[in-house]
Amino acid sequence: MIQTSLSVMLILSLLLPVILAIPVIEQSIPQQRIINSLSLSLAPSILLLIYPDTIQLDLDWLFFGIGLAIDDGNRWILFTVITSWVVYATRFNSCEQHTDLVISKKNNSFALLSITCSIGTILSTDILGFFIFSSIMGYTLYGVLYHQQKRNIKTSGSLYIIFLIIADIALFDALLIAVHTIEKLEFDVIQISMSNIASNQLYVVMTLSGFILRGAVWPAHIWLTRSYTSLNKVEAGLLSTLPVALALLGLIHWLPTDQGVDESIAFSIQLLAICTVGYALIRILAGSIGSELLAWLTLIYNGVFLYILGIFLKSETAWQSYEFIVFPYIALGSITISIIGWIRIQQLAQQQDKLSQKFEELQEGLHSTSSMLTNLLRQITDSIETAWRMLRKTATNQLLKLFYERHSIDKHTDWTLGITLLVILGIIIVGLG
Amino acid sequence: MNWSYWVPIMVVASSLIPGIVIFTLSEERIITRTVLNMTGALSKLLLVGWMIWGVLNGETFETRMYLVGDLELVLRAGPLALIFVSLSTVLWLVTTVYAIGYLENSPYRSRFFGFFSLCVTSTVGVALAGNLITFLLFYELLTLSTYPLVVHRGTEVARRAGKTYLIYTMCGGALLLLGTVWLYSITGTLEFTPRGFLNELDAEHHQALTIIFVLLIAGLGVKAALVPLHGWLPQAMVAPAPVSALLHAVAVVKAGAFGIVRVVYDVFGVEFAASLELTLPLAWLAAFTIIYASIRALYQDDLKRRLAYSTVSQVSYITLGVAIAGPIAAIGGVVHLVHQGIMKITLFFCAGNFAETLGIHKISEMNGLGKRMPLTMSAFTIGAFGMIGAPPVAGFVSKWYLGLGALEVEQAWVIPVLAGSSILNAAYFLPVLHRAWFREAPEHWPHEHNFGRRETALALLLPPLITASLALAAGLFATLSFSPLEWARFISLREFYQS
Amino acid sequence: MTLHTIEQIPFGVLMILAPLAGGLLSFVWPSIGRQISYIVCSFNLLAFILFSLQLQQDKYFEHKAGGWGAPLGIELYADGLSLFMLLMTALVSLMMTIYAANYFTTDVAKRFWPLFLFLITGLNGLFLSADIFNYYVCLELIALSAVSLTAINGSIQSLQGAIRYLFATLLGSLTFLLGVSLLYHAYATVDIASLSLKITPDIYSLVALALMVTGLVLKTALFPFHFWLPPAHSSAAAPVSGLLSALVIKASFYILVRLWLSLYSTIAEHTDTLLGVLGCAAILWGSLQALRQTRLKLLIAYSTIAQIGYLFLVFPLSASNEKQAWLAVSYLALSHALAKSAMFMAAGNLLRYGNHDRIADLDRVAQRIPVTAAAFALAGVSIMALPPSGGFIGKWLLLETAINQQQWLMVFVMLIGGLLAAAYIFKVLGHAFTEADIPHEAIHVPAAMQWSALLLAVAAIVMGLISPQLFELLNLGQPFNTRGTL
Repeated sequence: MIQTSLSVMLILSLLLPVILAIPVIEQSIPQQRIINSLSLSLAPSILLLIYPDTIQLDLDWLFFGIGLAIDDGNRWILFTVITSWVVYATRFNSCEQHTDLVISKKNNSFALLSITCSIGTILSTDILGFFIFSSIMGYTLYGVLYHQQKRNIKTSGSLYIIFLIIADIALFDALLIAVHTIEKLEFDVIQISMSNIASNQLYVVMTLSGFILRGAVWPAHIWLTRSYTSLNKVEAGLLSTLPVALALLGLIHWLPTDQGVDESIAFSIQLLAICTVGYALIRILAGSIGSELLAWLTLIYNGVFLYILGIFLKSETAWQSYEFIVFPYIALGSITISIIGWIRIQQLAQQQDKLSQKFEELQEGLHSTSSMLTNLLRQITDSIETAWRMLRKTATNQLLKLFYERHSIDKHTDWTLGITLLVILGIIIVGLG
Repeated sequence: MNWSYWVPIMVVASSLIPGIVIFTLSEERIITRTVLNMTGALSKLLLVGWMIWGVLNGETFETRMYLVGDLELVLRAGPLALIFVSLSTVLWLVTTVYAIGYLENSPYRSRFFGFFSLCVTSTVGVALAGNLITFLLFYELLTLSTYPLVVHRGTEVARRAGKTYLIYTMCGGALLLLGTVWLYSITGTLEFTPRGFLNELDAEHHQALTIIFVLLIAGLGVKAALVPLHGWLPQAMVAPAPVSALLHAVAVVKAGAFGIVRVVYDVFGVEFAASLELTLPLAWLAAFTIIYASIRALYQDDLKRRLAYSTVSQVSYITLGVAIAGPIAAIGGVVHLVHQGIMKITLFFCAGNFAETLGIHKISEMNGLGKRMPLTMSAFTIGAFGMIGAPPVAGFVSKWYLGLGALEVEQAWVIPVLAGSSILNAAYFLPVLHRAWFREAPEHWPHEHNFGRRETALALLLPPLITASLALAAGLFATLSFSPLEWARFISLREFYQS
Repeated sequence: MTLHTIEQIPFGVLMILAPLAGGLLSFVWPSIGRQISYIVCSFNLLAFILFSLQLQQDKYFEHKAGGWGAPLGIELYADGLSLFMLLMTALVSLMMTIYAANYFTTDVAKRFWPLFLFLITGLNGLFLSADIFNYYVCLELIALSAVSLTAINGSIQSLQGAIRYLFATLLGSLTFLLGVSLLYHAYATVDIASLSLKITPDIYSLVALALMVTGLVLKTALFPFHFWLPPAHSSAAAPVSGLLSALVIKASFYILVRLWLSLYSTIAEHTDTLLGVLGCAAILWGSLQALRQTRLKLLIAYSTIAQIGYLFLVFPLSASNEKQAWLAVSYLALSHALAKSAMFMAAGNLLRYGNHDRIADLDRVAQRIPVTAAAFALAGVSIMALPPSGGFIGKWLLLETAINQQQWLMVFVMLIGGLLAAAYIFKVLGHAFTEADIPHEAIHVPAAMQWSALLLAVAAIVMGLISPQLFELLNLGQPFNTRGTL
């Protein structure tokens, strides 16, 4: 009985937000009715969170069959995410910015979809489900976070989406490799099996790069700093708990932590972790203030985690010994950063020191290079198209012209030619015979 | 009376007869015309349902009549045929509803719906064709019946577009004809056979067969819009929206892609084609098309043109899936036949809605559209994400199987192609979505029509919503029986790799 | 009348006598020419049906006029090939009667009907003849009525065209006659069957061959002897153009086929290649010229030249005794006749409707007179040889033969020809859908004129679907077993 009701709760916690998200699109429904849908949609997942029991559910009919479960590990993360959503929901309703009816309705829908996907990401038991939910969450979160039309928000939004797409592709490829080498996709199977197979290096690299792009690790942190400095604090509070924390969750789920991987990969992870922490510290010491500080804190949080991950990947026993601290670390660390963000009353103006400017110039240089590249591509393809069209046209036109400009027999009104030809034909026939 | 003999021909006739009757109707008889259209569409749906049910129960549906010499006109409902037939039938129904709404009060409707029905008739014929000559017959018929739809508006631009369309398709048709005749003169049969009917031939014919393969693929590649044979497609965009929807999602491009599937699997047989070293170049060509057309799509400001280039790119997924020459990739290719259909028709319906309701044709005019037409824009968003290959929309499933299939036969180069295509798709769809959802709407729309409480007319609104839901469902419930994916698996098992 | 007596009636003979009598009657009473023509042409079709039923049993038909057989008397003979040609004549003439009855004003009509019926007489007679002198006689009858018909609407262009046509066709006939007399001189018979047994490849037969072939080629307007055709066919009245393009040029081609089958297929070794090359040239030349035309009727006339080219491909392709090439060409001839007459009728309708036939100024005719536009389009489908149409079946078989014999040049030319045909037909159709710069006044076109054109066009399409039956008809009496049965 309890199991059944828990299963229902589990499904409902994913389904309810989606159901609530659909009608708010329709213009005719007044805002008052939808205003509390955010809090309402969280109810089943809160129940799920507080009821101390574990349950596993296999949904064979969804996608290629995915599993959902709540257990002690992901309950931590669920707690963090639900907390941040509750805070967002209460702030959302009171926030002055959302006076525009339609904008708030639209945001409401995006938020509801993000809720479903974030909870789905946490609860999934296999990498396919994790990928699907987290990928959709990435896109819907864009709607939640970057909906304003300020210039810097747009820039940070586009940075966010570029990182997201590239990360998605890397993860998708990792997923394909996983399916190709082992049929099963459950986390526990992955954690054991992926290290035994020759192609696992590529898998590990793909997974790592995917989640590092998503989770903001130096040098791929640029979207995060931009987002923190441009978003208002309600929305910025979601950054560390949703994209970042879930990326870390992904790392421990996807990587063969139980078995260890190649030394050099583990070493480079740790190197990256050290760089990240070091860079963040330098920036803090250099006098970063305001919301940018939160970004550096997040980077430190990520760096520390990565370093630990490196240890896990190096040794085969570390995971079993220290597994218990991982989930609380992810959950509590991220929510701490969010809370720091929320309680800072005033949002300080952004300041940029030289180092950061240099770095961002580099990034912008990359950006302009890429736009140059696209322009170049455009010109190339344009000229291919034109050349092809010209070739086609001139070929036919020239052929036709060649034909039409020749002196046409049909213009001869005199008969001599025709009859001469006739005689010649006769002679030829006799000759041939 | 033997029903299973007559059902395929009834499926074809269920749109042919209403079409011919509609030609004779005068413009004002809207109700008769609508009733005829809907009767045809619904009865076709029923008949197709009957065939699917029958085939699942092991019945065979086959119609044969002599055409010329030993060649017969064969209509046969195999699994591969059924997947295309069901796609066309369902989408015809939806598009008919849409077209009735779209063309309200516009001239020449009898002619339009008449040719529209003929178009569907030939598509269904292409799908059901049991040998290459029947395929050829309906394939050419399709060219002929779509031409009046392309030039429907009767403007000079439309006439030129029609001319370009014909130059391409007629040349393609000629190549196809040559390939077919040549093949027949070598083999003496053209009957589609699972795993092909050519592997028994002597090695002395192999050179000729290679040339024939190139001829057939070039002929079909025109309609399937393989680069560099894609030029007609963006130009054909002058046609009314239901036509572009039908041309792009169901009829023309799909007929070409479907033909490639048929040629590779049922004429040559994939193993034989691979042994002639023909599939790999085809895969390269498809991959090049995917990337090249996506790049072109980036620079189009006209919404329909951008969608057209997107089609060029997406249809080549099917070719790619076939040319990778493995069972899993085959699933990906075949299932994309359906998935691309429902996703792209959604996008075109939406584009038509924007044009019809607000007079918006260009992407640069789409600011704030999500506020004005939220439902249509939601459907558009689902379609666009499907094209990118983001879960949970149907496009993800296709990409998944293509990627897996490539890995299975160790063609890892396909993976970067898919990734590149995803990035490019995102690059040309996401800015559109961003404009529509997040930018401020202008004060005035170019040509706004008021439809009362709703954002647009009901007949225009429902079709994209339905197809968008289908696209979502095809991804979400991919493993349920009767889903396109399961059918594609069934085909891959039954037609290709059953020993 | 019992069934038995019906079986005894020589319908073949009646098919010659009826139009002859009709022609004479309408000459005497021009005012009822229309009714006579209706009766004669309907009877002609009926007689054809009964005649072909008779042949289903007998396989072929032989009749000695007046009881005198060869070599002294006139002998009639018919097999599947003749039936095919008779079918063509019967169908086209009936539809043309309906069309012409609405087309001509009364006083022109008075002159039209007798000539029309004489033309039918000549054609039916030709298709039923069994000796080369009879061929000549019928050919003259056809030529003279055709020339007069060309001139019938009395415009200067048509008179000029007719004169040109007259000289060309007379020259052709005379050359042919010279060949006939040469053969008669050498072998003392004009009966084809006897000739085929006697003929040897000596100088007489070769010169006769040269003379006959050149004469017939001129009359069939094979490139480069087509100079007379476009002016004649485009300036004549629409029904006449239809008759000329559909039937008259087929008459001389039919003789050529007969001669080839029974006399020359073994004697003339390289002439077939020559004719094939000219055929290829005709396809390209005719199509390209058609593409260039700005007037509808000229376009159709040049299209005829191209289509004649296809017919001549049969000579090289049948060289290795391939029956299929003959089947293909007979099919092409029939479907071309139906489609081309439909096309000329449609052109006549358009000409009357807008009072001009400038292609670029066809102002949305596809919408305004849809039946005519449909007739043109459907006929076009057959001319382009797209499936499903009679033209497609014929071209398919011809292509197959060419590929079997590795004649890649011909394959190439046939494909290009098809594409060019599509180009010039869709050039017209494109403008038919489009609004023109100069809107023109519309003149009412009678429904009968529109539907008769459409019926013929539909018949050309239907031919693509009933080919097994038609081939059965064509194979009656084994006409294509060379040097055989005559």
